[in-house]
Amino acid sequence: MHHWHRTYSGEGLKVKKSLLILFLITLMVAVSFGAAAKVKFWHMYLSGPSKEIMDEIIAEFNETNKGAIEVEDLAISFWDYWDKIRVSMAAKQEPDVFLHDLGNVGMRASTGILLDLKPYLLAAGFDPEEVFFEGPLKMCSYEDGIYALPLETDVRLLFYNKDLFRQAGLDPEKPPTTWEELLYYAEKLNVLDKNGDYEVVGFNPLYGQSYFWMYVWGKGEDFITEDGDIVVNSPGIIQALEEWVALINELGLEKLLSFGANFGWGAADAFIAGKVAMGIQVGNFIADLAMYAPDLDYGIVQIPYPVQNATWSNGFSLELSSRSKNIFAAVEFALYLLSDEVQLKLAEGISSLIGNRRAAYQSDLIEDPQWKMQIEALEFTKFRPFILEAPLWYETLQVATEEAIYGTKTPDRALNDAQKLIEAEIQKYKMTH
Amino acid sequence: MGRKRSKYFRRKNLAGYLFAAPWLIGLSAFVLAPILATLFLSFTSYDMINAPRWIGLTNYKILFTLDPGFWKALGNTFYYMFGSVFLKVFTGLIFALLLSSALKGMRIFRTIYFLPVVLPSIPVMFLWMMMFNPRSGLINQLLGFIGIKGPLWLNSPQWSKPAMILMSLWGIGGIIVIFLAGLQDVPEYLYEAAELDGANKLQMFWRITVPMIMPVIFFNTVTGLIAASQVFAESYIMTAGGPLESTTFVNLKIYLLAFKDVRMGYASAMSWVMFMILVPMTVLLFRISRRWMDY
Amino acid sequence: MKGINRAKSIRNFTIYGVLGFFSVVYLIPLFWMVSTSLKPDAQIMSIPMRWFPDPPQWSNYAKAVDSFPFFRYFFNTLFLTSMNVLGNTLTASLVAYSFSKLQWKGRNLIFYITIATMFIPGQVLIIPVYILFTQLGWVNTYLPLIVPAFCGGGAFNIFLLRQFFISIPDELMESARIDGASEFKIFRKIILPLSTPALFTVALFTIVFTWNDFFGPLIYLHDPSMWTLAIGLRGFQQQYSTNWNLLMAASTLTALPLIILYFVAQDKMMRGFTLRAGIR
Repeated sequence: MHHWHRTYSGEGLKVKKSLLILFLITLMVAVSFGAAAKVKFWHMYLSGPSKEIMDEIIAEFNETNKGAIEVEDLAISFWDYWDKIRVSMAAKQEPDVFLHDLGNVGMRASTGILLDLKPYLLAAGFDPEEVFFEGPLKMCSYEDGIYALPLETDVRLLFYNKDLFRQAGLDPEKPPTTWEELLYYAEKLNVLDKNGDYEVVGFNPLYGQSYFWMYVWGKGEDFITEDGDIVVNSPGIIQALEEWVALINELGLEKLLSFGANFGWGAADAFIAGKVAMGIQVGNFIADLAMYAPDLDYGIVQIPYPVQNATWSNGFSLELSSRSKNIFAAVEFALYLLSDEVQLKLAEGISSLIGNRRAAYQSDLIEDPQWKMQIEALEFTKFRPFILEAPLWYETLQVATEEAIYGTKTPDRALNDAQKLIEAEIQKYKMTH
Repeated sequence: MGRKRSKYFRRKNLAGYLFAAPWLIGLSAFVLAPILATLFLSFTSYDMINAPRWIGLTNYKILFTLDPGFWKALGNTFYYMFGSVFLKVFTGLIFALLLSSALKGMRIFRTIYFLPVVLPSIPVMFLWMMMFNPRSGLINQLLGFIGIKGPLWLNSPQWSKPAMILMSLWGIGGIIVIFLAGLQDVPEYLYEAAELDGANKLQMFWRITVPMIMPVIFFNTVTGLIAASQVFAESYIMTAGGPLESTTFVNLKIYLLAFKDVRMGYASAMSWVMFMILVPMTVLLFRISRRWMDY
Repeated sequence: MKGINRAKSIRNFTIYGVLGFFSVVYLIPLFWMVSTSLKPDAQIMSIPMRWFPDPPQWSNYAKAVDSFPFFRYFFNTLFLTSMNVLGNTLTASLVAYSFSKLQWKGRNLIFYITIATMFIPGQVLIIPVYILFTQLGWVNTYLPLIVPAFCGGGAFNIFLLRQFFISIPDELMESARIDGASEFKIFRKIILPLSTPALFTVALFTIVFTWNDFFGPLIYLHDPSMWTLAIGLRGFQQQYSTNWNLLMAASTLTALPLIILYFVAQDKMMRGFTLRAGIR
């Protein structure tokens, strides 16, 4: 060592250079002899075809990057996943790469635990706006950065029973496209029994994934003002709730509730049992239909709208921990999972939709009209806006909707109260942050 | 004499500490330390990623002035607690008495009544949801046979809690088992002597059985109240706190705050307020029971 | 004589009647579980509810056992449960003896604190406890799930045993003490034998709790080869659908050992029941 010091300038530089080369050689040797960077990856693909595909994808990655990066994955069941990741984050034990809820990325991003992926995406030549669907990508953004990648997502569509259409004298190939058509068809499809109770409901607004906010968006209204504040009691929204309540009252709340009480899930689902002619469901429902009612002749169509096309989504994001010891390796893996080839593969295995837009349009699945319709819906889908100060605002909205439906409050009173509650939440947040 | 005495007391104390030692360790390390941590956290704002930030009494201020939902949840919790516990302890005792009789086949009966405790809870909850189905569920169908039109149960804001209380009555296997064990300890000769004195069954029950198993009755009541105050899984899985927040219990709120909303400090404050309300209540029970117990 | 016999048989009849009537209610869930476990996919949850699968699909059980490392999880669960039973019965009885029959400074205060700690809603303690175990380096081992059992076994068990020990007459111990027996000897030779029903009750509750506990193993164990049956059962429930028949099959298999155990071991908790209290 002190040789180097004594022969500092001139010759020293030569020594320094050779030391550097020696170091690089040692590094390469060390790397190729298994000093691989370990990347811990947690996900929910515990069983079935999605597990097989994920295992394949990871194995391929490990093979390609042998010696340099090794991904260790852990599959946890959906219901338990959230608690496990929550506690591990609290104890600084979270994995390097993990799935999470696409609906509230901002919650984690605001704490600083997520890695901002924007610089890495740009460096790798990924233009996020070109590669990903707009709706999901927006959910991944927080302030100026991109803190998650949209790994998988879904949409809601209108499912309709073609046999019931025929029985009611409607053309099964001409499903409703506007809200008025929907209501018109619904009336024709209602079948009452001799007591006046529902045997078949044409369109049941209380069934499946039909929610009030979808109607709000369908009317061209929104829950966010221009200033970015949350509003649930704008005149447009109040009007929408009045119409929604009127619709339910026309169908008869008591009758709808006791109708709905007959059904459950799986084979006992109302649509699967052939008792709801038109219902809103999530794309994965196709798998349920295949399992429980393979002979049911059904069609799907974009949700009919009063003013503008609307549907909504949830999904899983792919996030990286900013505290990871192997950031570069983790980023490698994350970009790999969102790359076109891998997303194409994932699309075959999981029953949901993928976030990579380029891959979605390139996939063979686009030949399948049902899949194509879902992808098209992804172009205009909305997510429930994420409000950092009141993340559960939509539950307050849902309670208000129920109060208006049950008649315990008028629509405008219910929404005004809800707005006050949400603002109180925001105030509470500000008091403690 | 003085010296011998203090040695005796020292020996006594030592024995006490030695026997209690495992718990003294367990209590301080695994129970008190986390509990005191939550007390500390209740005065902070903690997002579970960054270090807790001291905010003094703000959480408590919010809880008492800006959170009507908490008080509604507290009301729901008390309804459930008092609606279920005394009923459970009473029914548990009756069944334990029946099951402790020396008739043939009691073994099978006892196993049957213990079954609910053993079955995994999630499938059981789904089964109950099906049984409570207003139209096709077993319960309303049975009521229909005797001419009663059953309510909407879990779908009704008024009947959701009674439904859950009914469900909890099904799970009294644990209480029964403890009563069975307690009934074993009542000395036989007391009954024999009473019989010779001409006492009838009811008198023997009230004058002998009940006082002798008071410690066990007390245990089941206190632990029953504690368990009921922490009711959570049923409301989380079966009703999601609804309809119209009728089954939103305090523990559900705390779970949602800590695990979904990431407001750990506020959740801690809520837990402590709950604690401050429950403990005096139980101390009262202790005082009342002292008059009845004999030890 | 005849009168007494008649009264007795009326009473017996009533007992059987009441117990029998309600046992139907208690049996329904088990019946439904087994029935669902044998249903082919299309018959699960059908309306109207089918009580009898047609035809019963016994292969569901084989499929369920194949769905996750059943036997490995079984042995893990067995291990965890036995350790907990050992720890709980041993240490909780020692501690309960101390609280009930020994006098020492601070005894009552610490007992009240023990009871009080049960009132804190558990949800909020999960994170601090998890952080504690992380600091100790015990995450991803069985330690967080076993060591607390050896450190007193928890407030519930201590409280339970203490209530039972209280009713043991002090005279028995006093005479032994006068004879010069050590506290430990008294504990071993007098208290324990007299408390077998209580001890077996603690063992039973420990077994049932540990066997079905999924939350502890879920958050502390990252290595799937260490997981338990309870975690395996959770795997049948996905986000939008659940494999009901396989879930019920696996649940039945999981519950079966416990049912058999209780049926067989009841005697230990009903020491000499023909001579004891209750309705004779």
